[in-house]
Amino acid sequence: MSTKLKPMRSAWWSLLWKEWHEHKWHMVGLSVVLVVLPLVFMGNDPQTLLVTTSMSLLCYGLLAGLFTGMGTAAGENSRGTMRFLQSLPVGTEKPATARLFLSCLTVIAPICVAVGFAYAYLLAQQYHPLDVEVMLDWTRQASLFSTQTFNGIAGYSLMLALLSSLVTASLLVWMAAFGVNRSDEVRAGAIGFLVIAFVWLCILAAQSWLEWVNWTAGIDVLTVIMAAAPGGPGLIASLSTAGFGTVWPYVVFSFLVHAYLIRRYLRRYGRGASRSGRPLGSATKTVPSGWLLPPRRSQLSAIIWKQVQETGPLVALAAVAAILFAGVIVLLNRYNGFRSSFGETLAGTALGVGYLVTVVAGMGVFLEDVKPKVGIFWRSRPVNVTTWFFVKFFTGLVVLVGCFGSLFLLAYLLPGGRRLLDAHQPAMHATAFALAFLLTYTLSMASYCMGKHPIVAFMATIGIVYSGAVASSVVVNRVLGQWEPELAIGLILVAQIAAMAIAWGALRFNWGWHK
Amino acid sequence: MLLRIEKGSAVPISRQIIGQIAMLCVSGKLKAGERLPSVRELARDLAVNQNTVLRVYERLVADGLLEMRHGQGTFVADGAKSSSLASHRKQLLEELRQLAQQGLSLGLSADQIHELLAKALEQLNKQLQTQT
Amino acid sequence: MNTSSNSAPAIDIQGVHKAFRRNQVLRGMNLQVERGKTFAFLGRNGAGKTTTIQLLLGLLNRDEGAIRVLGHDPEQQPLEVRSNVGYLAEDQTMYGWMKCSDILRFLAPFYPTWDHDLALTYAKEFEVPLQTKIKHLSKGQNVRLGLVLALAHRPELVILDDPALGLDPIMRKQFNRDLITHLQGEGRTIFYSSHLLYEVEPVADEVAILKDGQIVRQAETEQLRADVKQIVLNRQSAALIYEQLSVLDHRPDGDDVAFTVEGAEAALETLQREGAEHRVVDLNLDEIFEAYVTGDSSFSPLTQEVPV
Repeated sequence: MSTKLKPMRSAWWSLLWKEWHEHKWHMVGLSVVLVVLPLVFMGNDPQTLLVTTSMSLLCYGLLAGLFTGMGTAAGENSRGTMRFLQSLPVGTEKPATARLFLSCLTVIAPICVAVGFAYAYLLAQQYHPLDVEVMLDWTRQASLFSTQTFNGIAGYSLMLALLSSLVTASLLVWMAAFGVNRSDEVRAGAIGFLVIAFVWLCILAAQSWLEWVNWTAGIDVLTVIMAAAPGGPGLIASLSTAGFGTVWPYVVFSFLVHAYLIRRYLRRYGRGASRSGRPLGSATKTVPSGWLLPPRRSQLSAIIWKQVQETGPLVALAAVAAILFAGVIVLLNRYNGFRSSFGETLAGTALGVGYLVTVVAGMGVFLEDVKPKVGIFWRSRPVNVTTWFFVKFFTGLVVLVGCFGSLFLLAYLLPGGRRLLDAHQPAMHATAFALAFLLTYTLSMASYCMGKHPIVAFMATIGIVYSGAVASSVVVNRVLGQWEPELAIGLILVAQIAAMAIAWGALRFNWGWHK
Repeated sequence: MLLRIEKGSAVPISRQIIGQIAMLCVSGKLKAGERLPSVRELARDLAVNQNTVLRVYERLVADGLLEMRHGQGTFVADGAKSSSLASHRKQLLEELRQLAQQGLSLGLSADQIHELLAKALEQLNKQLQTQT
Repeated sequence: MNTSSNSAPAIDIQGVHKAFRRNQVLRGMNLQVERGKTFAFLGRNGAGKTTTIQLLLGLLNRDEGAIRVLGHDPEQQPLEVRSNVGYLAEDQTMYGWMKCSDILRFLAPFYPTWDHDLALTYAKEFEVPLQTKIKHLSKGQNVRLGLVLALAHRPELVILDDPALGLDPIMRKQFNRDLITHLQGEGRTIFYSSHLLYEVEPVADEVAILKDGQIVRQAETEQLRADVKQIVLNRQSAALIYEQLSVLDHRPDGDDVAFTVEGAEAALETLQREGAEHRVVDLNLDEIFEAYVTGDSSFSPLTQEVPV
């Protein structure tokens, strides 16, 4: 008891203690996922554990680096504790340093744990090193990790850990440096994503152009630049075979750029956050009364207006992202010698991005409404919960359909787009796809209203859709032998009605209408 | 010593305290030679600024109601009753003057005001008799 | 160390301007707070109290003017200022996942003069539940925890942004008592903002009233009460004498006019000299404040105002 009440030894100790507490479960969670996932994927062939670990690390690097980076950049602001931190008699570089250090540790430690586990597992199973080597060779052929330096399992593991750590930490630093001081993680993430996507877009476009004009010196310089790009330091690890003599420009440039980014983060952290604080000055003075527009005519138009405000920007941003991605992919394909049509590619990226946005938008419809504070506010107004639910549901849907529908239409009209509908029974397939999106939208809404936690809802939605698809295909294959589109549509419709009922029920429950 | 501070009153806090201590001296609840709480204690009890309390004590010392004995504290002075009576008369006169002005502005004549005062005294007398 | 800074005022604000984009919050504000004083900083919501306090701690940068807090410029030496000042923000949000005891331990090493035993004593006295997580505290407990954090390093100057806000009447009295015994008693400077005037009056040595980004009056509390009075006199003499009074507010009252004036003593002398019949009304601090911040001083004797 008395030891628990002793003051901390030093300011650094305090700050590290605080960051450790804020990051420890994050770290444990990531480690568990990173150890368990390869175990699941390796299936009946334990020798492939290092290979599956490599593959999961590919996804991990991207997701963990970026998502943790968002928290590093804006976590303190979104919780509203930045003001308190600023008022301490310590420069904001100190807390920023502690935060960045523990964030990096949080994403790197799980990598070491997972790789170490895979290595120890293979050793314990006493596989013949050569057999494992054969497996690892596959990753080289698939150019997942085309490094030649590693010898044996130990060398491979070491290189894998180093490379993944560099990629992940680099992404985190980029995200933190550009998302710093945003008022919440989502805003920080949006800015960070845009910057990172833009950097890679520029690099890839430049590369295509240099290939086109066949200027080798230019390509060499570009590779040096690439090593400093978000996630680029991984390149250094794979180039390290060539010896330090040729690698040093990459190391130096990459180091300089990342050092600059770290400095940017440390210097900006907590500065200028005051601007995004609450509005100051009296409202009556700043808003001339003439600007106040007449009230909205009906509840209906008011709710629609609110929903469009909430869903619109997200969906628009996603549409821009889909177009950008399509551009990058077309450029990349051209560089690799394929000719791909922009229309077809756009349809693909719109599907991918659209699916993610559908999940997020589904949660977003009632995101604020079930939070304790805002929830109380809405519930205390004379609003009919049934109107509220259905109007918001359909407005969100219309925004989504309108935006992505026009994207698909654009894709269809662009050169090569007509091939999209060459499939057997195109109308049926299109309907099934549309319904699958609708179901996803409703499911994510339902799981958010039930769980009230965005990340849990996200996981639950993906999990339910995935396991539902797998389970139903197993059953259908056993019983009928093959799929019919009508059957798929029917199944999705049933699921859709169930999901909608659950979402509505959950919202009513949250509204306090359970009797 | 039980004092009561009325917050938000038009009478300043220091005048409220002065009035109440003087009243306690007159009514004999504070006897000559009795020790008063220290500035710090009284400030804490009343939740009133220490400087205000200090000024009150200084004022009362100057009026001859209290005396400060070096290193011992503040005590009720020997002639407290009479000096406070004198200062009370002044204050009472002021209050009566204000009452009279109210009466005049209501349109009462001087006689009618005298009559009212007599009535009030009579009522007090009756109350005292029933109590004893 | 620096003897010259010890005689300087605890807070010295001179000609400070501050705007947020097009919203001008402070316009040439001047304010001096002497050491050892309990100073109440009054103003309506949105008058710029919180902005001023954030400027004092270097949480914001001013556009123009000079500020010294305990002899330091908060913009140049924010850390010196923050280590010698105890600060409680309005609606202070702290780390919800920490227990109260955790945050005491966490903050201790930041302040060179932190007294951990004192912190624990205050925590006990303010009834802060040490083993409870901050996110589970009530509003009042949150404020009191903030106070413990602001006082535990024995700061020379304590700056409190509307501390009475989340406290119930009993706790407010207790809080005032704590200010008086722990801070005034030890000769420390207290600068606090509030709009509960009747709470301020018994405690504050001095008050300043902020309006439209400027200090419209700074005075000792008792002196302010003596200086600002309401004078009722009839329309004719009002029209004659109006020019010679410094009027804060006026209200028609039938055939009479009620002026709220500054410099009551001089005003009364003038009235005596002119032989104007009048009545003097004492005002409480609320009324004085109201006269300063919403008062209508532009009396024109010619217009016939309709009595309310």
